[in-house]
Parts: sequence; C-alpha cells; structure tokens
Amino acid sequence: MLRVLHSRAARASVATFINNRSTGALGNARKVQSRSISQVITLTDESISKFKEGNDRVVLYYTATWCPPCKVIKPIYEELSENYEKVAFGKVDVDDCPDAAADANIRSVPTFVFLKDNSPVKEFAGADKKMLEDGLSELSDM
Amino acid sequence: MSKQVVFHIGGWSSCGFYSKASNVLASLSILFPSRLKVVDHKYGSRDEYRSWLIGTSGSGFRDTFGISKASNQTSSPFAWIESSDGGNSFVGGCDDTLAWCKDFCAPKEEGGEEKAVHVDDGHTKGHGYDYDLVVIGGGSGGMAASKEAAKFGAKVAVLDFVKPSPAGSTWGLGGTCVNVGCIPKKLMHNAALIGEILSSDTEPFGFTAPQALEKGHSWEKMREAVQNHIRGLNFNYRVTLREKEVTYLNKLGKFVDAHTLSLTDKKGKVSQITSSRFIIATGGRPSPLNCEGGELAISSDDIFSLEQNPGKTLCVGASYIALECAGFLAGIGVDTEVAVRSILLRGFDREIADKIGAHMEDHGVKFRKGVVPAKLEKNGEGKIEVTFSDGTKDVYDTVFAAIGRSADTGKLGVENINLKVNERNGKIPTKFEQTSVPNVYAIGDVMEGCPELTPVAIQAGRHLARRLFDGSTTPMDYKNICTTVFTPMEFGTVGYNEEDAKEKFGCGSYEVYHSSFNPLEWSLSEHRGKHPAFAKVIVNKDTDAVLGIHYLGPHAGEVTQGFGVAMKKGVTYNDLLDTVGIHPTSAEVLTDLTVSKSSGKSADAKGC
Repeated sequence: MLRVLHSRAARASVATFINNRSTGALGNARKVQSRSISQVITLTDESISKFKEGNDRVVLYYTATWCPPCKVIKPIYEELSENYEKVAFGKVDVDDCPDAAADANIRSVPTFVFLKDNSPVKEFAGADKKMLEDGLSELSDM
Repeated sequence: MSKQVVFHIGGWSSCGFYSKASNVLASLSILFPSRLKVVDHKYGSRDEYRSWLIGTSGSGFRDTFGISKASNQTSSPFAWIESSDGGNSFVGGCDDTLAWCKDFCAPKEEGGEEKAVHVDDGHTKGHGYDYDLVVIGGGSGGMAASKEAAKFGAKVAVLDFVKPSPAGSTWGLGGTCVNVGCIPKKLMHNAALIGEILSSDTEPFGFTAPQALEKGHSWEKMREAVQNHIRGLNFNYRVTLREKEVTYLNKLGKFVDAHTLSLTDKKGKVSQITSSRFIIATGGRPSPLNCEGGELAISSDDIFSLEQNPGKTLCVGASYIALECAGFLAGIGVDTEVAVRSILLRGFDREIADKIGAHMEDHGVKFRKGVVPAKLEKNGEGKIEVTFSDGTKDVYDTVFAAIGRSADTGKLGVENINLKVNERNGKIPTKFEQTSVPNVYAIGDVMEGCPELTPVAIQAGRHLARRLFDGSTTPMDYKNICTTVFTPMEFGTVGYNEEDAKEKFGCGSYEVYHSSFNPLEWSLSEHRGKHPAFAKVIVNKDTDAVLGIHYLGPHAGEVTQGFGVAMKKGVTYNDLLDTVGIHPTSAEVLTDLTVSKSSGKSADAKGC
C-alpha cells in the first residue's frame, strides 16, 4: 500500500517536472542527474541529445499512444524508474518525435535502448518486463 | 495484325542441324506468309560457311553483331532476325531457332504483346537534379512507386501533406485508403457484421442473452481502436520508407517548372527541390455538397474519426462509399437514412444493386428516393435541418455527403508546366501513365480513366517504376480488375456487368448463369433467410469465355480474389464447371451455375 502511494507521488512529481520543462525550465539533464528518486522524462526531438549526453547511464523507452503493449509496459517502466538510481529514464513518443525515432532507427514500439556514456549497449523491442529488468541491472553494473 | 518478321538462317548444305531448323522455318513461312519471311543463306560446304561466318580474325559475319554470344558461335546454323531499322538481332543456332519457332506458334492473348514505351523524358544518369524521382502524394500508389524505384537504385523522395478537410480532419502518411477509406471502412463494416452475428446467430448456435447486445455499441471504443490501428500503420509506413531509403517530406509540393517543386511545410516555411522525374499521385478528395448550407455536411474524410456517435444520420449519395457507410452505421445501431437522386451503385450490375438496396432496407437503412438536399441549416438545438428537393424536411444530427470524388490537382501548379488536366474532374490524362509533360507521370485516382482502387494504384506505380528505372516495357493491365463493395451484404465483382455486356456484345451474344442460394452458416437463423445470397456469371456464347463474375454474399472479397486470377487467365464457363468445388462453402456456387437466365427457370435454390 505504502509502495503504491509512493509511486503515485513520484508520478505526480514527474508531471510537475514536465510542466516545468514545457514552461521553459532549463538544464533538465543536470536536474535528472541530481535527483534522489528516479523519474521518467518525456523527451523531444530537441531535448533528447542533451539528455543522452548529460547522463552516463540512460534507458530510452520509445513508445506511441496507439500501441497496446505500451499501455502494459508503461506503469512497469515508471515503477522501475524508482528502483535504478544510477539510470536516467527517458520516454520518446515516436509520433511527437519522428526525428529522434528515425535517428535511433526505431522499427516498432515499444523499443528500449540502453546507453552507457551516450553509446548504445543494448536494445530490444517488445513489452518484456524481464528483459527490461535485465537490461537495467546490466547497465547499472557497468 | 503483327508485323512480318524477316528471319535469316545461314548454314552448310549437308549439316543436319541446319537442315532441320531451315525446314521448320520454311514450313512456318508457308503456313504464315504474312507473319514470317525466311531468308536462307545456304553454303555448299563447311569451309565456305565458316569463311563467311568466322572469316579471319574478327572480320566474319558473326562479328557484325558486336555481342560475344554471336562472335563465339562456330557451328551451323547461324540465325538472326532483321530489324526494320536495318540492324540485326542475333537468335543463335538450331535449338535457339526451334525455340523461337515454338514461341512464334504459341497462342497469344490479344494485346498480350503490348509494350509500354514512353516518350523520351530526357532522363540521364548525370542529370544534376536533387533527385531521380520525386513522388507527389504518399498514398498507396505513391508509396509503392517510390519504394519500387528506390529498389532499382533511384534517389527518391515522396511528399505527403494532408490539407485539412472543410470540417478540419487531418491524418498521417498513407493516403485515403489507409486513413479515411478502405481500412477504417472495412473495420467498421466488421463491427456491423459482429452486430449481426450477435443479433441473428447467437441463439440458434446455442449462445444465450449475450451481454454485448444489452450494453449496445460504443462508437468511442470502436473509433479509438480503429484510429490506433491507423496510427500504427502510419508509423510503419514511415519506417518502411526509411528502410527503403526513400526520403519522406511532410510538405506540400507545387510545380515551379517541369523540374522544380516549391515545398511548403506545416509552419509555412517554403523551400525548393529539383528532380529529373515526377510522379503525381495525389489521389482525390470528396466533392463538397453543392447546396445552401452544404458546408454543414461531413464527408468520408471525417466520419471515421468522429469523436462521438454521429447520431441520426443522413447519407447523401448512392455510390459505394455512401452505401458502405450507411450500411455500417445502421449495423451498429445508428438511425440512418440515404438520400438517393436516381439509382443505387451506378456502374455496377443493376440486378445485384437492387438486391443490395432491398437487403439494406430490411437492415435498418431508410431510403429517400428521387431527392437531393436543397438546403441545410443549423437549428436551435445544434441539429441540421435538411430541406429536400421535393420540399420535404427532416432533422439530423449528422449529414454525410458521398456524392463523388474529385482529383486533387487544384494546388499542384499544373498551369506552370502546361500540364494537361481534364477541366471537368481535375484528372490527368496519360498514356502509359505518362502525362503531356514527358518527365511528369501520374498514377492512381488522379489519373484519368484509372479505376479508383488502391491495389490498382499500387500495381500501376510498381510497373511505372520498373519501366522508369529497370528497363521494363510491361504496361499496367487495367482490364478485368476485381473488387468488392462492403455493403452489409458484400458484393464481389470482376469483368462485365449484364448491362455493359449487352451494350458491348449485343443481346443474343451472351448467356447469364445465375443462382440464389442460402449460405450454410445462415441456415440456422430465421432472420437470415429472407435475403438469400446470389451469384451470376456472364458468358460469351461464341467463345465460352467468361465475361463477368458477380457474387453477392458473405466474404465476397475473399471469394472474388481468386476468380480475379481466373479472369486474368481467360477462364471459360466450362473451366468453372470443370472445377471441383469446396464443400460446404458459398464460393462453390460459382463452380455449379447451370441455370441460364434465358431458360426462364428460377434462380432460386431448390430444397436440400
């Protein structure tokens, strides 16, 4: 019960954070690094490179609103973002960010890309919780 | 009548292979003197033959062809065909000559040899433009053409920019079919079919009181699922274009000159690109309702993405688009009425069109016949009051106009390149898809005379790309294209309908074989029996060739597709009867049509 509440609070803070960003708050990449609870940051074609450069361990969740498996994995991804403190969690909507999706050569959604020092170390497509956890553990240990 | 071929054969008199080939040729030239002339070059000895053929170090006759296969031949005979332009084309030796003779005698379909050769469009390797090909319009045809051209190494860009409908609807990459046509239509038609299964079939097949029926239909849920599917397709198209190395530009193109387009993006930013060749594949858009208040009507551009159930709806028009939409709306429980000016489904088989109308009328669609809307106005409750041409009035939540489609060429800048356009409908006349401007081509709905069907545009686009970038001369075959109308009772059709057969061949020259039948799946349900399924084929009495196949019943698209292949291969009525059916299916009726219309016997199915 406590955990659920905790998670909701975290999500609320993500929303606040995104709102701040959209009203022009700068330096979000730095902010991500210094956070105490992991959060999922919604990225844009413009903000994605800064996010990748500003964090040494990054996971990117490429998603779309029309994708049924994404609806399944989304809450899991958000929850996992609280458990891996070393990793910066990003979310990229392939329709809102066509350039970012094309740059990463995303062929289907959801696709997860893991980056260490801005280089991809692992990638997979599909709403697979186990693979997501494995990827996050590997990335944390790098 | 094909031209006479002048066939040359050289050899030495006592060579068996030469004699054999020469004799076959001589026989053929006797049988077909207008098609074949044989010139025999007979040498008295092997040495004489060889000195003519081989000569000394590259000076023999065989070297005049400039191809290694000819220059390497030493044996007898040596055969070639004289071309009208004075050049010769090498055939080969005895086996090659006999193979040529065999092919010469093989039966050929009329028109089967037609080659599509374009007017020289000035395309060269080092043309210096930004692209080899720019395709304007990322619908089914445009995407197919661009991907096919890229396959042959062409540098290709495809432009796709959706101008919002008057009601404000826009959509993503993929064109009409995917976004506001075939795909959402078929899915919503399927919703109606599910509804009919729930209401007609559950009880007799042993299911009781389905909860689904009590809860009714949720337009919002259906719309969201359909739209999500479409958005997934839009994304997949972007991915595919990227993988095939086609540049996708979400910009509106307008000709500046025959090699330059000005592009405008969403934000109004203008740029230019140049290309050696262009394909116009902009398709069409619904024609607006031309009466007072016509702007209050929505069209097929809007209906599939409506936020809410359209409520009481008036469909204007009796085209397949109007009837398909009216059909699925009524099928999901919408109060639906159709205003028909004259006849249903103009251009399709009359007898079947009437059956479709009767079936729809019994499935909740009301028809208002012989009228058109004269005036639309919003009343105080936000509903639309429609005054019809006969003075009658009624009030609707939604007016849906499907009175025709016009080619989308208005903003292309065709006047800047002197491109000929049919002023009546905006369509572009072509020969083998080449327009009056040689480096500009047109495919799909925008092309004059093209059946407005997605797969036609795709096929034409692929053929065109192969001709432009792979040396093909294969034309697009626009004959005998099969299609299906997804009215509540589906209608699959290929070839001539009865009216067209009468006009083309005359009354006594064809026979109609027909049958009404009850699909087995319908036989347990009382509700289903009233409107049986129906099939008919139209047969040329002289040749036994099937002129048209028409099928009204379940899964018409699945049934008709294979018969489309048969029609392409020139199926005869006896071929149909000779085919073993699949039992128990609806399609098998087409292998067993024995009642002729001229016999006056009833087409109705008899007993068990």
